[in-house]
Amino acid sequence: MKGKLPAGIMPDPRAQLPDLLLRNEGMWVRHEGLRPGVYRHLSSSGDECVTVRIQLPPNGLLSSDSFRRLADLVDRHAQVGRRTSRNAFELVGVDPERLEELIEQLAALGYPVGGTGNSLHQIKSCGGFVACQNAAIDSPALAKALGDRFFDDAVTQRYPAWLKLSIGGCPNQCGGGVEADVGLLGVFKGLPQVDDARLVESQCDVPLLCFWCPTGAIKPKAVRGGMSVEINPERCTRCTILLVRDDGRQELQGRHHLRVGPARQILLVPVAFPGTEESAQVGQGGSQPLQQAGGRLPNLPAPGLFSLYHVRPPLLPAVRPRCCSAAATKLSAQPGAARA
Amino acid sequence: MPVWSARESRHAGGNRVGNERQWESPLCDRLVEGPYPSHVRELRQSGFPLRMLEDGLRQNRTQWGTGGYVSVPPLLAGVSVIGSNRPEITSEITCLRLLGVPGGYLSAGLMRGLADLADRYGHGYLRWTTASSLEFGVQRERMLEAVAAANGLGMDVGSTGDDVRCISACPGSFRCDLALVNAPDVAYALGQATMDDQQYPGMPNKVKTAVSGCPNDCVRAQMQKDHAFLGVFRGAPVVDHRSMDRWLHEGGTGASAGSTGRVDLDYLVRNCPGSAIERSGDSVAIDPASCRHCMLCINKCPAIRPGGDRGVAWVAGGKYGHRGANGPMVGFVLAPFIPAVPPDYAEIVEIHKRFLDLYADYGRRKERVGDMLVRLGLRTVLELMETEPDPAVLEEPAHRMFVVWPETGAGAEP
Repeated sequence: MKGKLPAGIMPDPRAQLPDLLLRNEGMWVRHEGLRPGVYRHLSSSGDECVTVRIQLPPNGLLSSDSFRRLADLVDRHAQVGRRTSRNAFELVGVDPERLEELIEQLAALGYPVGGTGNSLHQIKSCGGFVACQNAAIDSPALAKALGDRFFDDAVTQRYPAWLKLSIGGCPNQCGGGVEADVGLLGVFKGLPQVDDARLVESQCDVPLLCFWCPTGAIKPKAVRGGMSVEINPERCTRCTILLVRDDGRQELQGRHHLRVGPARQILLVPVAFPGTEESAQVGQGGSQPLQQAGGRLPNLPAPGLFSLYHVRPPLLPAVRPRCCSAAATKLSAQPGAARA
Repeated sequence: MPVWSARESRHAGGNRVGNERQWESPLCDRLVEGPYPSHVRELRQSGFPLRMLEDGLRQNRTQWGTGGYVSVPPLLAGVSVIGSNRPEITSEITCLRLLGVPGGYLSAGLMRGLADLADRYGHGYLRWTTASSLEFGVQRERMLEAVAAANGLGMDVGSTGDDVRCISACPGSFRCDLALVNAPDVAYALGQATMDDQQYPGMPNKVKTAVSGCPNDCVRAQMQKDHAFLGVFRGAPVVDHRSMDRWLHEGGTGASAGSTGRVDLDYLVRNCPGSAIERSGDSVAIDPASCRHCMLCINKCPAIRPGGDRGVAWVAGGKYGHRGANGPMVGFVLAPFIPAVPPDYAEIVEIHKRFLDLYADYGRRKERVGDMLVRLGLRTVLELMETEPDPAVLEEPAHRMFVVWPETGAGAEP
């Protein structure tokens, strides 16, 4: 072992970049789509940069062999690879004359070219059952199923605008959901179930747990041997705080002391369009947040989510609801939907 | 250079269970079919205990148990452990998380290096987290070697727990014609300044930061991240009349990547959310007072370009998760314009650092930045930071308007 750990290295983007991009930094003047998944940037210096975007498996899961195969393609046909913020992958600086050859090779590897312009963009998803202990639904499987079903929309450009679809396995929303045009979110219907004995055994920080609950639904409870908690079913919003346990502890083997009830449902968070007539124009929604619309959260969530959005702890200052609408007011007036 | 195959390293030891197919996997099999890229196909080429997924799908319940971020000295950040509820399949998965390269650029050499890393020290697979870092399973006993090897590639660990998470960026001026600041450069400067905080979990909760080159915000910085630095410009967009003539001559279509709808001057006038665009003959005039800098006309028409007075807006407090008092939030615009001066972007770095100090002092345990801003109030926060509150500070970015899209007529399909 040499050197100190951690070394404190910030990855340098310039170290990755080819001469083409370094030379033309800030000189690009326009870009245009050539075909679905392929677009071209034109520089004032006369250079052009062709980019091919491919769809990757949900959650950007790649075997190291696939990673190496992609690296070979970047070497042979392009100048640099790039992961996009939606976990798709781009080959930047492709030789336009060998474009067809590259697209064929990508298709042979099973990575379709697409997801630019007015199409279904890469479906963003969290780890789900592959990598997460909190997931209520298996978001990668759902992403794969939806991707298969709407595959033609990803590789053509027949939507009125672009459509971004994000799938989060639980309300933590690591996979996104509120930011996309259409977000799918795994939620828990059942109450968290408290296993007193294991909670005591885990020496969990009960005051932190109580403090952490945004709605004050968790109360400490004395049980044999220590402290446990009880959960007020009327206040609990299933925000899954409870599933995050005593992190920072040094034990590598954690202990499972709280579980969420078995009943789960998938919740559709619709697009952030206030009106109904325009709802066919799903597209522009999340894509340009400061644009026509400003960054905006969906304001027509399904009723189940209203409790998540609208129950607020009594001790904290009332906040202007960010997703308030007539529908929201109506719903929160219903008993049980929110508690003042 | 030694070639490490996934298969070779898979049987190299550790507590992993290989993918011996002595069991039926009808559900995973179905996830391999179909045209869309399959994660199961990738996992089958690796040492991932696929049975955890198969049984999870069968029971519709994740088979992973308690997990979380752990500090394993000397690595105080960068390691996550997921326990298993099925000890007979696998006992746990330990993952190393690497800080992503701002802008996401990966040279072929780095990709090969990462693949070797995952083979040699891990289970032969990598995954991209949705917050721009890169994660791979690692054999616990070889963790420190793996980190040293990653350092050799110019990468480092971090981005777990209550620290400053990896700082992501859009492609920036390196590859984008719309970028108003060079986002990867700014992110690199921010990352260098906060390196200690990125590798030491000393904050009340996680702090995510991202830099977007323009208000299009391709990285979703203002929604996903606690701190978003968005490239902005002051004044009105600039109309280049000569290119406008050419653009109109070309018919106005194909203005942005893959747009199939017909975009012409009427379209721009009709869709401007601030009604700032007026038609004047064969060109347009843009009123700087009503312009909302939303980038719509700039995205759609190559003859309209952003103005030259450029900087960043600082948007703080965005978050996705439902935790905390306020649930998912879009950030508050705390500083509408900060000059971005390369190469060290001193003012941006300074304001970020000042806010982190404030958050460390005033944030409650496990309170995200957005919740703290709501609790203290924007005015208080700006006073504590000794920043002059700007009348242009908005409580929320410009309100969303309806967009009327032009009808996609016949022949629009490419």
